[in-house]
Order: sequence, then C-alpha cells, then structure tokens
Amino acid sequence: MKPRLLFVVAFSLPLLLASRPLFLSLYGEARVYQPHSNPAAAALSSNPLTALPMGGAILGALISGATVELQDLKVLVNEANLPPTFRLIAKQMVELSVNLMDTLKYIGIALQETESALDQGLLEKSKEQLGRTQALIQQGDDLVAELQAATDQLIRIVPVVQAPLSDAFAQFEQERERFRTLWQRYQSRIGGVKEQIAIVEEQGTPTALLMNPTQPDVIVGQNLLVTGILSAGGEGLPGRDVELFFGERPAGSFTTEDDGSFTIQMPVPLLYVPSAQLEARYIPQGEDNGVFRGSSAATDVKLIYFATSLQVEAPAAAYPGRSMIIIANIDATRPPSPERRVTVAVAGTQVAEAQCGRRCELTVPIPPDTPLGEQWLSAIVAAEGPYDEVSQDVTLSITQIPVRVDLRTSFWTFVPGEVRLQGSVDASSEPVEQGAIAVRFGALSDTLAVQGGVFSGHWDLPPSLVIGGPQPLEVTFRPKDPWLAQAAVRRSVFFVNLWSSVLLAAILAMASMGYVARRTWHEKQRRPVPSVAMAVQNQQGRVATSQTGSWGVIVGEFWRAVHLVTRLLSIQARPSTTLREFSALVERRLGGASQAFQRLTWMMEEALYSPRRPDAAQAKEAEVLAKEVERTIKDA
Amino acid sequence: MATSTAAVIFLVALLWFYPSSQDFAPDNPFWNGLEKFVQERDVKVVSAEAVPEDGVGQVLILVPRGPLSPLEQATVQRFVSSGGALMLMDDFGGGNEIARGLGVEARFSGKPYLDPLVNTKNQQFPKATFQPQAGQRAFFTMNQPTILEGVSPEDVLATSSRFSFLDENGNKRWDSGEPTGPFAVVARVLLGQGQVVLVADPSVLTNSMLGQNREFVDWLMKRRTVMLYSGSWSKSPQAEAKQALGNGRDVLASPLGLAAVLTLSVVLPIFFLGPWQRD
Repeated sequence: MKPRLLFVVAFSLPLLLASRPLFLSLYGEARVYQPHSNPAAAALSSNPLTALPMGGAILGALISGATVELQDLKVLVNEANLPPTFRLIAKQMVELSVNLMDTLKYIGIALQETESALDQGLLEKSKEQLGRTQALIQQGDDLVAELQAATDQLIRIVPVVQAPLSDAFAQFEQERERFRTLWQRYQSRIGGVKEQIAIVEEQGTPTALLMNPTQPDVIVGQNLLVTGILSAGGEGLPGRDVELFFGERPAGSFTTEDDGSFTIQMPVPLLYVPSAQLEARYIPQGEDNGVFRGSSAATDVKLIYFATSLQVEAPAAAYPGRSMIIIANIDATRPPSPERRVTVAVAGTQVAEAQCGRRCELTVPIPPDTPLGEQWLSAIVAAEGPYDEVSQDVTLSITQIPVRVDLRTSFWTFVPGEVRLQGSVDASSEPVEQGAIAVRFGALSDTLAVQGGVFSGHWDLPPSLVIGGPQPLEVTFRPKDPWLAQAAVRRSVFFVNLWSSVLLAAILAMASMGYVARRTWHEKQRRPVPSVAMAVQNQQGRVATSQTGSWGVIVGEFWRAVHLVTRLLSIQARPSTTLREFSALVERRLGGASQAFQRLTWMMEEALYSPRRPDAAQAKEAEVLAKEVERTIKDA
Repeated sequence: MATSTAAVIFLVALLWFYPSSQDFAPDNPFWNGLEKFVQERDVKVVSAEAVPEDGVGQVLILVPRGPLSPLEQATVQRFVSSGGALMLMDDFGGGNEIARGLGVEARFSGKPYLDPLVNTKNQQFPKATFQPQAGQRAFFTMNQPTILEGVSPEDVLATSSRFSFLDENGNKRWDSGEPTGPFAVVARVLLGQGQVVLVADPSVLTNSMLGQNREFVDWLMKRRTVMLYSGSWSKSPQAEAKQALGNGRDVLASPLGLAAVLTLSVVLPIFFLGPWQRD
C-alpha cells in the first residue's frame, strides 16, 4: 500500500467513525434527547426574569397579600404577554400563594366552626374541627416552606435583575414575615381554643355548680371522691348531665341525684404534674336550653406521683449487626420501683424492649445498617401507675472492627505460568470465618471465599506479549458480617515472560543478523578503498581485476593512470596522500593531460564515496580519459 | 514506508492508551464517566454471569442502553427476588422494557423535565428534594433528567419542585399545557424480597455530579455492596476500536498467535534485510 494511501485510510477512519453521532443527530430519529451535559461547561441560566420590567408589577402585586388580589393576579398572569418560562414561575408562585391563602382561609373557617361547636357545647364536633385545623396547619406549613424555598431562589438571582424588581423582592421578604406572623396567629388561636371553651351565657335562670373533692391530694391512678350540687334559684336540679374535666382532659360525666347533688368516685388520670385542675361543667341541653344558664366549678387537686430515675451504662462503642449489653439502673422515689417496661432505640430505631427491675441487663442488637459514627442510644422507662416516665440518651460510637489481611505470594513469576496466593484474615486476633476476597491482578479479576479465616487461590497466566516487570496485586477483603471493616492489601509481583523475552531476543538477533549481512555485502562491494601508495607499490592490478562492472572499470582505469604517472614522472607519493592531493601534485607536470586526469580523479572519488552506482557510459568515459592521459604522457 | 508505519503505530498507541470517554464507563475519568464513583464506593463491575444469586445487602446499578436479553432479564429478576436492590437508572434509554419485564408499573417518561427556578446553573440541572430522615429535606442535583410516571405516592422517594415542567416538545421552554411539577424522580418498588429503585437520571453518579450529590448517593446506596452492571454503557467507536485491539492482542497472546509472530519475526527481517536486497 502506498504510504499516502495508508495515511488517508489511517486518518480518515477515525474521522469517519467520529462523524457517526453527527450523522445520527442530523439524519437519525426526529428527537434524540441528550442524557446529560458537562456542568462545568454549562452556561449560567439566562435568567427567565429578564422580562422583569414587565413581570415586576405582577410580582409586586403578587406579594401584596389578599386572596382576592391573588385571584386577580391569576387573571393578570394569564393575560400578560410574558415569556413562557417566566409565566410558569409567576403562575406557580401565584398558585402557591393562592394555595397558602386558601389554606389560611380554611384554617380560619375550621377555627370558627370549632368556636361555634364549643359555644353549643358539642365537644366531639369541636374536637373533630380541631383535628381538621391541625391538618390544615400542617399543610400550610409545607406550603410556607416551599414558598420560602422558591423566594430564596428568586432572591439568589436578584443581582442580575434590574432595579424595577428590587422593591418587589423586598416586599417578598415582608410577605414572608407576614406568613410567619399569620402562622403564629393561628398557633395562638389553636392554643386559645381551649380558653374559649366556656359555658355559654344564654338567656335563662342562672345555675350554680358546687364541687368539693373529699381530699386535697391524691395519688395518680387512684380514685378521688368528689361531692357537689347543681342548683338553680336555691333548688337542686335533678337528672342533669354534668361533664368532668381533669387537667383539660375529659374525665367522664354523671347525672345529678333527685336533689341535684352528686357523689362520684372518679379515677385520677395518670398525669405526672404537681397539680391539675378538676372542672365540672353544666351545659343546658334539650328543654333546659333557654331555661337555665350553664355553670361550672373548678378546683385544683394536688397530684402525687413518684419520679423515676434512670442511669444507663453502655459501652462506648458498638458494632453494626452485633448485640451489646447495657445496664439500666432504675429507681424511684418511694415506694420502691416495681418492674418497669424499658425500650431502647439506636439512631431512632427501637431495637430492644424488656421488663426491668431496679437493675437489669438488656441485650441490645445494633441494626446492620446503622450508620457509622456517633449515634444516640435512647432508653425510655415507660410510665407505670404512679411512676412517671423517664428517658436517657447516651452517645454511642458505631464502628467496625478493623480487619488484618495477611497475604502470602511469591515476589516473581514466569509467564506463561501461574500465580498462587494464600493468606489469612483476622480481626482482633481471631480468624474471620466468613467473607470474600476480591483479587485484582492486572486484567485478572476474581473472588475467593474465606473459610475458617484462611483463603487461597491460584490462576494460570496464559502466554502473553507482556515483556515483564512489576504487576500490582490488589486483594480486598469484603466481610459478610457488618461489624467487620473492609480491608485491602496491595503487593507487587514481578513478571518474567519467557515467551516474549525469547521473541524479543529472536527479533533483535534476526535484525542484527540482517544488518550485519547487509553491511558485509556492501563492504565486499566497495572494498578496498586503496590509497595512492598502493598504486606506487603496483598493487592496483589486483584491485582492478578483482572488480567487475562499471565500478571496476573506473577503479581499474584510474589506478592504471596513477601507476603510469608515478612511473613515468618519477613521483613518490606518501601513503597518506589523498586522490585529490595526488591530482594537484601532478597537475603541472601533466600539461595537457592534467584536465583529463583531474576528471578521472573525480570519477574515482564518485565511485568510491557516492552511494550511486556508476553506469556503463561513465565506465567508457573513464577508459577514454585514462587513454588520453597515457597518450599525452607518452607523447611528452 | 517507514513514515506510514510510524503513523499507524502512533494511532494504535493513541487508541490503546487514551482513556475511555464513553458515558457512564467505569474507567472514564472525564466529566461523564463513573471512575470517581467506582473508586470511592469500591464498585465491582459485573456481567450477567457474575451477578450473585443471593442479592441480600447488595445493590446492582443498571443504566440500560437498550433491552436486556432474556438471560440478562432473568438474572436481574433472580437478583431482585433473592433480596437484592436493583438501581434502575435511566432517562432516555431502555429502562421501561426492563421495568415491564420485572412487573413494575412505574415508567420513565422519556421526556426531559426542566426547572427554571430551583436549579444549579440553569434549568437543565434541576434540584430535586428527598428526605434523608423524617422531617428533613435535602436537595440533590440532576442533569437533564426525565420523570417517573405511574408511581404510587407511597413509593416516591424524591420529587422535583413545583416550578419544574415536562418539556414535551423539546423546545426548552414551558408551553401552556405542558405538565408542571412536582414530579416523582426517584421511587422504590418492593418486589419479592428485594426492591427496584427507579432513578430518573443516571447522571447523578457521574464524576462531574458526584460532588454535589454525595449525601443523596450515600442515602440511596446505604452501606450495601455496590455493583455496576457491565452493560451499562454503550460502546463508542473508540471503545470498539480498543476492544478490537484487545481482541487482537488476545489472539497474538495465544500459542498459535505467538507461533505466527515468531515465524514472521524470523522471516520478515530476512526478507527485508537479506543480502539479496540491493539499493
């Protein structure tokens, strides 16, 4: 193949292959999405808010507040001639704001209905409305978070926005504050709902409700005897339902006796607070509506409970997938603490539960997927009768046991041949029973099983053209047990490739032989390169006759002429005299033949030193020149 | 002749030593490769034959570039059924065929979603939200992703912002009628004892994106052993040429090939440099 053609093929092939994606993109499917692009080379967003002189008014109005205006804004956004992407942002901001405003509106409605239900004494309905309000507040919270994230992004790109919108973004901040204020207001409204629970003062005869606990303090969980009377105008009201609340929790209801009195024994809820309010409420219902007014009575009851103390003793470090023992010391103010239910959580996941006396050991399994690092271990002693709940958090360092891999292999190997390795894996001086050893050795990749803490393997190294040298051997231990750490060992094995070494030696030897043969051939072709002195010693005859062809003719004719000149003109040449020096030496004495001799000398030099081989015409010319020199000398 | 031989040798050497630049290739050190991810997580590249039968505690990442063969599909199915987690990461590839084969109803839309507001750099790099822990929100960045369709709300693990939109006509701007976010971009479907996690953008793992997505990747992979399916990147002309060179090297390394090389190494010098060669 011609070199030029080879070049064309060599360089055009990659270009042809590289042009394939271009070809596909031009003539392939109608739409081919790019899976990704280089983020480092990606341009910063050409801001969709470039149309902000136009959109500023919308955004400014958008954040101004009222629901009605937001609804108007939706129309405005739809009608405005905005770039599509900006229209999307504005639309979504409006939607987000409308959703938030709607949510706030529904919260207001739900709270209003709660108040109304409470006014009517419909506690179940008011509870239901409060639950709905709480869900709406959660939804509003999510919307506020999303809106804040969006405004943060907008503020991030404020610097590239022109001045007309700077006011709008300032208003965004104010609006955010307004949302926060609203949120706080709703929080306070929810908190205030209970306060708004009051007996509705209606038209009718006032009633009086008297209530007396029979004891000033009580142990939580025990019964409390309460007596009292409901009366109107000094007369007891029989058969009326009275609701009881203990620490704002419904605690049951009772019906008054024939004389309006009541005596009830109520269980005291498990409230672990120093005191709680006991409240009785009479709400006129049915025929009593409009006849009697509601009334209530409240008194503080001192609660007795026993504070629990907990002290957890846990090791400083734990390992994923392994269990550890912790000790829980539980105590309480008198009387002595009974058996208590203890739950233990690690990194937020409950992992153990047990009934414990004053001191107990708990086996705590650490989940295998527990993140490494500092984690919380939380122990909780549940409330039990008059004993309150207590918890303690301790810091636990989740870590893995370091693993040591002892690898034994030879430092060098032949190719082709095999490589053997064996070793052991131990953790804390104990052999690791299970795991896998991943081996990477050049292009070789394999996995060995660890059994009983040891592993071994060998691989055949096929014939290869790799000359030799060091080859990295990487061994990585992958534990099966999550409490063990991964470990890696790296060694280097020296390759000695007999095949390729022999091959290389053969190539070098053959190349050397070829070179020597070629040099020898050329040496023989051009040998000898005689000096002029040889002509003096009459050795030129052998020189001339030992050669053949045009080269031999020229050399022979030149030496014949030199021999003639030295003999007839009695010239003595030194061995170091060059052909050209000799020509100059005899130039004057040759007279008319000097030019012919000079030309013959040049031809001799060309024959000796030029890579170009003389042809027959030159050989003929040499004969003519030599004869001219001979004739001239003889004539002289 | 000598010049052209040198050129060919130079080209071959260039092909051999120049690193892969193919999308998602594990040895690609450039922006679109997975070299950093593979090294950091000690990811093992596995073929269909090397996928373990017991998938417990292991993640198999699959970036499909086309439908799987029946054997490959069966291997993946077995891996998931045995308790493994298949991370099916796709945007515009053949992920739907695999999802269908696994009996998963969720699908990759195959159309790009853009987010002109909640993004890094520009709308082609949208930020999506996930919950590393209950009550927490965190972002990760995607690179020209698509969205998931047909996902049950309880299966969604990460979503785009509501300012995102599905660019159905590919004009890189929102047009009236084009769906807007939030969209599901990561979802988990329980299957047998294992699970299939669909991620609507494989580029979150690339060298150029990993730095800003490390929390997301750690959360997604947890502490499981990670494997990368070897069919996860298509072969470029360069990769094919490298493969061809590798095959050629294998042939030469075989006993027959070596014998041929030895013979040629003897014959050629004699032929070209022998004494009968004249100027």
